[in-house]
Amino acid sequence: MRYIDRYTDWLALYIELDSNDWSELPPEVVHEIVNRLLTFKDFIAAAGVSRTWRSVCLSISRMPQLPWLMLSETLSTDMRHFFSLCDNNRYQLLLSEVQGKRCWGSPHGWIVTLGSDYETHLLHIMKRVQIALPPLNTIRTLAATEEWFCLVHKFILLNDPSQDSSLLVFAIFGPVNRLAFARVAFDRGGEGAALNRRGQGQWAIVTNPDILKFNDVACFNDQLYGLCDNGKLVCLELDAPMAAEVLVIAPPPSEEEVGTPQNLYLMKSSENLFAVFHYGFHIPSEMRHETIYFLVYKFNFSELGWEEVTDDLEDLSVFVGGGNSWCIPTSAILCRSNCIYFTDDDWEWQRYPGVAYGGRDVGVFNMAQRVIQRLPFGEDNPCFYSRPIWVTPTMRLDELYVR
Amino acid sequence: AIQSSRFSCVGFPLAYIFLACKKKSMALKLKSSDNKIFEVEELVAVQSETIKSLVEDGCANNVIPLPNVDSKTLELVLDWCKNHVDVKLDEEKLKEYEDKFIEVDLAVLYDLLMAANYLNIKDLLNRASQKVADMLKGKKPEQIRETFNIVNDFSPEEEEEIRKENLWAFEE
Repeated sequence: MRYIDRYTDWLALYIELDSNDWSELPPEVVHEIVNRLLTFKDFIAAAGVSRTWRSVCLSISRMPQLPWLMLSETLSTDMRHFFSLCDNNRYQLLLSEVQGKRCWGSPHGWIVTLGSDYETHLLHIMKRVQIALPPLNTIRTLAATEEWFCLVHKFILLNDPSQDSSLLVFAIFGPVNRLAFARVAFDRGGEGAALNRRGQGQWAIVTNPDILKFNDVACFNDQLYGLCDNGKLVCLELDAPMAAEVLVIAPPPSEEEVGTPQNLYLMKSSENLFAVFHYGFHIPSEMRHETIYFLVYKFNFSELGWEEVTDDLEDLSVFVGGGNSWCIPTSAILCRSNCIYFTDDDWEWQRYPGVAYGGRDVGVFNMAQRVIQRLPFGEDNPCFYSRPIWVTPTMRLDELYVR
Repeated sequence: AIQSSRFSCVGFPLAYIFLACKKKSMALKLKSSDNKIFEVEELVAVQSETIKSLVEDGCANNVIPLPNVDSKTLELVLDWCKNHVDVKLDEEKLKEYEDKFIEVDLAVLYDLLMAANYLNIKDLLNRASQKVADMLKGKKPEQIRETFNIVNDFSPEEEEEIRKENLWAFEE
């Protein structure tokens, strides 16, 4: 009997609720509901329903979401256009901070902006919070001849594996694709600055005696990797004693295999490190280029070499272009998998200021069928510094893509 | 019989209860908040993790009171459980059943959610939550509040922040 008594007491602890008062829905049930919302728009609406709903929405880390395509700048408006891959809709956000600037995207809700005054910022597109990045002086002295919008080819935002709640910002810059980085702490205005680490408050240049040409950087299992030249994999030791160093750990795939790719991207999934090789050609008469295909390689850590992934990325979809390169598992979010979504990232021919060349090569490459489809994002007018990029909207400033 | 006598030597009450359950292939008695008794097969009832742990702890040989579930809801929930006992059930048929099952008005849906959560029936909670999530699609915060009759308990400052977050111009 005593067992039964105990449980009767226990059951009675649940107060009988007023039937049908949805305000009383317990947080764990709200969690079940909002975690099933696929589009960011629906998610953010749910976060505005009540205090309970809001705290649930702010506390959960959502499964990886499809990014938006942030379209090129539209002249004479503060609104920026976005195309959502979730529902194929276009949205407008008031985002005057990006006017007249080149932008790089990320899966963390943040973009990096660079203005013609050479000022760089991190900008959270939903919260419209801006964080100034260190002045580009060191970078500019090493790349004095570049136009402002071509000074940095790529900014990459990563979790700093060596420091909680701080970001590592990488910049690949200059005529020979050198690498620099800066550290941004989130906690209370950079209290961690007391540590006085390399890259805090300034851009630290990675020593590069072999003049490796950097293409991309990724963090896999807390180790930073760079993809150089035509597919050489390097380890980055940012806190090496004298200066940040690189260590080559694997050669590129053979030249017969990869030829001369136009762009190379490096990214991690939960289990693998991938290199994506991008191929295309120029059509000078039409002032544009066109993607033909991609090759994907997976790194074999026991044999220290690249292995081609022939037709199956399993349930992954890949996002490459101006900014971070990343992939997300798609099984949970009902979207096309085994695909590479790309934006135009070829600035080679963009050497005449004021002349728009390219920016229109945006689409999705199907790995199995090896065909390219366009995305129905509607009108877009790239200009010499502004092109479409991928960015995943988030509600929280610190909602980094941890997997 | 040999086993049972061995256990009785031990004289541990839990063992008695356990064996008693086994022998009868057990019907459990559940009592709803409005004091109605439902007699159900153990296999059906233990889809509720809450009831399952009661049974495993040997506390289910009497009537199990469920003070948070009324008889109307409990009847529905047990129907769901009956239809999910046979795992070999054709998937298409099961989906058909689930779709029809969840076509209920908001009051019933709320009761199902609360019951599924309290009784810890995962697949029912999933299905009911999905139903609500489907209803949220495309709605603005105030439309959600209106539909579900949820009280807006934000301060004016919070309200302003939310208004800003939802300033989306939507293009056709």
